[in-house]
Order: sequence, then C-alpha cells, then structure tokens
Amino acid sequence: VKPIAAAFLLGIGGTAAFANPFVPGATGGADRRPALESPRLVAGPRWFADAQRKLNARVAALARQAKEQPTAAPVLLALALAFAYGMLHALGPGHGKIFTLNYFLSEKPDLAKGFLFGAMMSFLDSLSALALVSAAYFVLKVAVLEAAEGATRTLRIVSYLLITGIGVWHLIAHIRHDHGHGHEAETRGAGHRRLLPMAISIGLVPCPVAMVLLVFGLSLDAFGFGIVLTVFLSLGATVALTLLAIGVMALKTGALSLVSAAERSRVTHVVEVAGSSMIVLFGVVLLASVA
Amino acid sequence: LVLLLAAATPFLEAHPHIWIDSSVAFRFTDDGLAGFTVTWVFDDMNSAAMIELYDTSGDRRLDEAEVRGIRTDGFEHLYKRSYFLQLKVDGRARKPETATDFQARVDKGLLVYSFFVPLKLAATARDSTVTIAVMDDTWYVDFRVPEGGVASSQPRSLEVSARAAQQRETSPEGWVVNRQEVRVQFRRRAA
Repeated sequence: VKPIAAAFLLGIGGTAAFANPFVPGATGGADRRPALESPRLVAGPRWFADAQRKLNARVAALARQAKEQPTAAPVLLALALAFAYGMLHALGPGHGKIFTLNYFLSEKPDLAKGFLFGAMMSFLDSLSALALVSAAYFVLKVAVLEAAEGATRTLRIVSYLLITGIGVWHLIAHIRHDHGHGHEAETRGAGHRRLLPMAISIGLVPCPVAMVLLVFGLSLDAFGFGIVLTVFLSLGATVALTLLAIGVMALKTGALSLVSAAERSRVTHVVEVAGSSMIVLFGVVLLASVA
Repeated sequence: LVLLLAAATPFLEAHPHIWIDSSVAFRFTDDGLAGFTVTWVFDDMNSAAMIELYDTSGDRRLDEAEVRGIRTDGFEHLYKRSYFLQLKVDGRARKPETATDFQARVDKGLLVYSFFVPLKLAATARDSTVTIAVMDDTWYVDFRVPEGGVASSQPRSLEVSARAAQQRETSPEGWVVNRQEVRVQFRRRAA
C-alpha cells in the first residue's frame, strides 16, 4: 500500500496555475509574463480578503492560546471563528460554486438535496485533506506540502474528468427525458442518484485551507484540535454552500412561476439542459487548466 | 463565450490560501536608488506548513543549509513570476532582473523571507517615481502592505519620500482591481 500511496502522492508532479508557488516543483512551464502586463485578476473587494486574513490570524492565535491555557473561552472562540472563516472562504471564488449553481439549475428544486449537497461537498474536501495529511505525515513520513502538490494535481484531473462525465450523463438524461415526455418520477429518481457522485467529484480535491489548518494542529502537537477546527471550518462552508443551493433553487422556482403554465415545461427543460451543458463546459475548461 | 470563460476561470478555483504581509525598504546611495529589500511574513498556519516542509532537522528553526534549500527549491523559480513584483519606473513597466541576498528565518513561529532587488536609477533634478505592487495574479497568495511596511534610507544629497497607496485599475477583462502599491519619489537636492 505504501509504495502505491507514495506514487500517488509524489509520483505525479507538475504544477497547475493555481497552486502553492513556494513549494519544490512549483516552477511551472514557460515564464509568465510580468503580471503588470496581464493583470487578469481579480483582487475582489478588499474587505473580503482582509476579513479572511483576520479570521485566519485570529483562529491561529486562539489555537495557540488554547494549547497553552486549555480553558473554554479560547477553545470556543477558535471554533466559532473557524466556522465563520469556513463560511467566508466558501463564499469566495471556487469551492465548486459554479457546479453547484448549474447543478441546481439542472435539477428539480429540493431543499433536503440542497443541504445534503452543501454538506457533502464541504466535508468531503476536508476529509480528502485529512486523508492526505495523515498519509503524508504518519504513513509516508514526508512533508505534507510536498505530498500535497502531486496529489492535488492528480485529484484535480480525476475530479474534473468525473464532473465532465457526470455533466454529460445529466445532459443525456435531460435530452432522453425530452423524448420520453412524462417520466417525471424517473428523472427525479435519477437526479437523486446523481447527487452523491457529483458531490464526491467536487469534494475530491482537498481544501488547502483545511490542509494547512491540520498541519498547524500538528505543529502545536494538537492534531485532534486541528481536526475539530477543520470540522467547524467545514460546517461554516456547509452553511454557505447550502444557502447558495437554496438561493439558486428559489430563483429558478421564482423565475418559472413567471412563465405561463403551458410554457413552463418547455422552459424548465431548456434551463435544465443549459445547466447540464454549463457543467460540461466548465468541467472541460478546468480540465484544460490542469492537464 | 470563450472570452467569458477565460475571464471566469480565475473564479473557478478556490482562493486565496496564503496570506503574506509584504514590506518594502528602499536603499539609496548618494547617486540615486540602488534597489529595494522585500520582506514577506507568512501567516501562522502556512508558516507551520512551510516550516514542516523545509525545516528538515525538525527544530523549528532554519539553519544555513535549510535556508539554501528554500532558496533553491522554493524561491529561485519565482523569477518566472517576477517575484510577484509589478514594477513601474516613471510609469513604465519593468521586470525585476534578479533577486539577491535571499534570507529566510522563523520569527515567533512565523516564516519570514527577505530579498534584495537591484534597481539602479540615478537621481536627477527632476522627480523620479518607482511604484511596486506585490501581487499574485492567480490570487493563491494574498499580499498586503502592513502598517509601517514602507521604509527608505535618506541620503543628504537626495529628497526622498516613500509611502503605500491604493490604486484602482481595470484588467483587460474588465475587472476592477484594487491594487495596493508602494511608491517612492526622489530627486537630487538643490545645492
């Protein structure tokens, strides 16, 4: 098992554009143009980044304090701020939101499904981080960041391939549904069956924030507390992603209620096919960015 | 559609993940600017992860060999990304040629990098302006100039003023970018 894990974690190196630039092997390909000539980013609202920066620093400071003086106050405050940090971080770019959005455009509105999807995505990318940190630190005894670079790239490729595949499956299901009118219950059942693979595909890529939080816990000789902080981080992300899913479903339902009953079925079908198509399109774009 | 996708790609990946306080100290000689020293202080959590990677002896300090390891494996390749420095001299973009005197240390648990960027500019009777924005265009790293993060030597022969400033720019895709930059202005002092 160990050699296979090592090959998986370390064997497939290389660097995607969106990767920790301070680790070995982060050389990338050709020289990048000076950023000034291509400022494609995106700093977003400054307050948003600053709030995350402050939360990150406060969680770390409180965790140190809790380690030195294990009283309720710093522990509870650290957990609360980890929750807020997770929520804010998940609301920022990434975290599969584009897929969440399109997935719920392409599905029948269902609140339980929205919550399940948000929770699964948030906890799976933290679980993926926990598995990676544990494998690197306890089994392979290599530095976590070194292992993370190769593994994350591999998992990204797998994740984007799966997302694209599921998107195609979605699309075919919707098109077939169009040809076989009236199979509402069948399509709804298929939608439920697609939920888990979709959430797993997105959550497969370990969350770098969870990863460094776990390593931080190791550095404090408090890995258990690092795991608990990561759970609260994931809970915060769950709330953010569930709210997004519910928002998209509400928007879809609201928009469809404006359409006449005669047209509703056709418009619903167009929206759902468009959602599935966007999943395929963004899956391919992301695959191209790492492959 | 292609343009839309290209513009949206940065938003598909989660970020930022690393938080760095970036300070700049300008170094002047009697003749003009010699260059500037950049200091990066990593956030607590990423410091822990980076120290775990590079502190091979595990004593949570960095000895000479470990600093050499960081320079070789984790820093030198950043020339490809201009060390995240967006440099302008009198309004014209310039790529930093090199970075020298790389140092790394652990200070109160935080990982600190510093390096010198040579930039020779002779002072004249007219104002010369150098602006530096430290920015990762993938936003994996979020750089910020901390309070008191701009400093400069002050030779008697020159008038020098250095400060941090906010700059709003629009990227080719149309995003409004709030750039935090460091600006130094200098001229030869009238006799």
